[in-house]
Amino acid sequence: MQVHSPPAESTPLILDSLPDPPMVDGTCPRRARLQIDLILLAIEALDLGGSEALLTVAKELGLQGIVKNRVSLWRLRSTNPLRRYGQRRSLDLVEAKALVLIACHLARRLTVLVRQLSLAYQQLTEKQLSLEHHFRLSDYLERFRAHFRARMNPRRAGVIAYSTDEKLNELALSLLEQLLFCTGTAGVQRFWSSLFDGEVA
Amino acid sequence: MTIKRQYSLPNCTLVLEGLTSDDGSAGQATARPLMSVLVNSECRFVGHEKALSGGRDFLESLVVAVSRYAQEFLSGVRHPEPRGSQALVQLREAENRLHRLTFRPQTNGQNHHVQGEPIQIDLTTVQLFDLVEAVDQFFADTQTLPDLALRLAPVSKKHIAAQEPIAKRVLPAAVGVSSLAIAAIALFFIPIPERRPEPVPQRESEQSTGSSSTTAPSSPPGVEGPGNNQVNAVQSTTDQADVDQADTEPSGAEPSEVATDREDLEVLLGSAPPITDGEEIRQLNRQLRDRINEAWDATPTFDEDLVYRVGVAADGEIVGYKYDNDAALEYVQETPLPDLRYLPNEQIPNTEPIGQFRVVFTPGGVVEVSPWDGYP
Repeated sequence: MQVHSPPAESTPLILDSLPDPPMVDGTCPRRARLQIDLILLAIEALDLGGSEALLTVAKELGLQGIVKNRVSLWRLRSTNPLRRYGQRRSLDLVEAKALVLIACHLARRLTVLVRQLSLAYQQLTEKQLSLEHHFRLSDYLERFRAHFRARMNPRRAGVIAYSTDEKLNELALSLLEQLLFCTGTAGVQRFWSSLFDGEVA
Repeated sequence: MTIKRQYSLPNCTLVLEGLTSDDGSAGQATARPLMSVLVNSECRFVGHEKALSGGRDFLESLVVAVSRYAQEFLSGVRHPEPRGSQALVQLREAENRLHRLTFRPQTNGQNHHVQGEPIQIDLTTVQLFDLVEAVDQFFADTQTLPDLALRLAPVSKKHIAAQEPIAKRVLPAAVGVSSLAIAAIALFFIPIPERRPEPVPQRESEQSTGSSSTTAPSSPPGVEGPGNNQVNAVQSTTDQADVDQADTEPSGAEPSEVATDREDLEVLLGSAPPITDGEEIRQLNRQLRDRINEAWDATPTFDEDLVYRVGVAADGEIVGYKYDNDAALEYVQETPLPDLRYLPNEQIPNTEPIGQFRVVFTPGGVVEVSPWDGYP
């Protein structure tokens, strides 16, 4: 038997761990694209090696068929409608699953750090101290603010809502808490399901 | 054999005590027997001395509420509470980014216990996460109450309430519709532009008014058509108007010109006193003939005589002419009469005497001039 074409790539098995939500047209809703990009942004702000780590994890999980290289990762993330150079393409469910798996895998690696920062935030709010007192936390917030402002289109209404430092800090902290939940046993499934809340028929 | 399963997290511990239905008859020493019946469950938090405990109902209520609340926390979208819930355990948002866990213990009637006082615990986010993690670990444990497992489903669109109040959402539409209505009303009051009647009919009326103005020379020049700004108000003589018509209108407008000429000359000849002096008439005759002969150099194309009745003023100028036969009308352009006609700048006073002559242009190229009324 002659085989003229290479065997078709099968979708990695790991993607099956996430169920397909009953979306009307097999693509991700707007809020989901935004949320995935923001979570990835938070991961990058947490850890300096974040951007490189994303690609490494993609390879580890066998997802390099979907996230081939830096450029394709950027294109997938740029489906976020608030991005400066937003791609007017939609995000497949398969692509979204891949990004979510990568994000949660990295979050689990950073469990200790995420937990530490969450506790620090808690204690600071209890004592009503400003967030500057914790070096690592304020570092994270500063990096998040810088990344957000550099990458998001300032003319979008969604971005103008985060025009002040306080608002961006709030966003960063809520993303931090969501990352905490992503590190759990069922974190991936919970995060994946939460992306489609209110979007399915 | 009672089994105790414990899921410990830094902030929260979930302890389950139950029985296994596995009687070990299969002969395998299962290290971890399946717990199929729950006797008691307890949930303890670090920092709170009161623990939540109860039976299967409590556990079920706890895990459902925790799972639902966790999804709500992640997405920000409110999940509907399951219907028919006994609301043993409730999780709500509290101030200061805390989460309020409310436990209303209800014991069944068999124990004759009064409903316990509700216990309220405020959890920080980290504590909440630990609770969620404990529950998730329990779900993931297939050897413990396998019928209780993680069930996640995104909330349908139907369940989410509008994020913004209806008043705010309707506002832009209302503003748009009302501004359209106001604009429509405002534009309604602007009058439809009136169409000016075309200049040609005005000139017609101006001609007729012009002819009638000769009978009343003192009538103001403004009587003539208001829209005809080609006519100088000072040039209010009928002839002037006629010639202007002849100059400005194309040659196709001759018939109207003819009619007015005839009318004007009639009026002129009728009103002006005739020259009756024989010597003067003869002199004017000669002058007229010479003048016409001099001016006429075209080769006649007509084949019958053209007869005109020409009015001549005392100084020899032709003040007007009238066609006397149809051929004259047709071939007037070949005669020098239109060019020779004298055009005074002011209205000719009707008292000036006019001599009337009969001018005949023959096909042979000869001009015959004689007094209209014959030689005296």
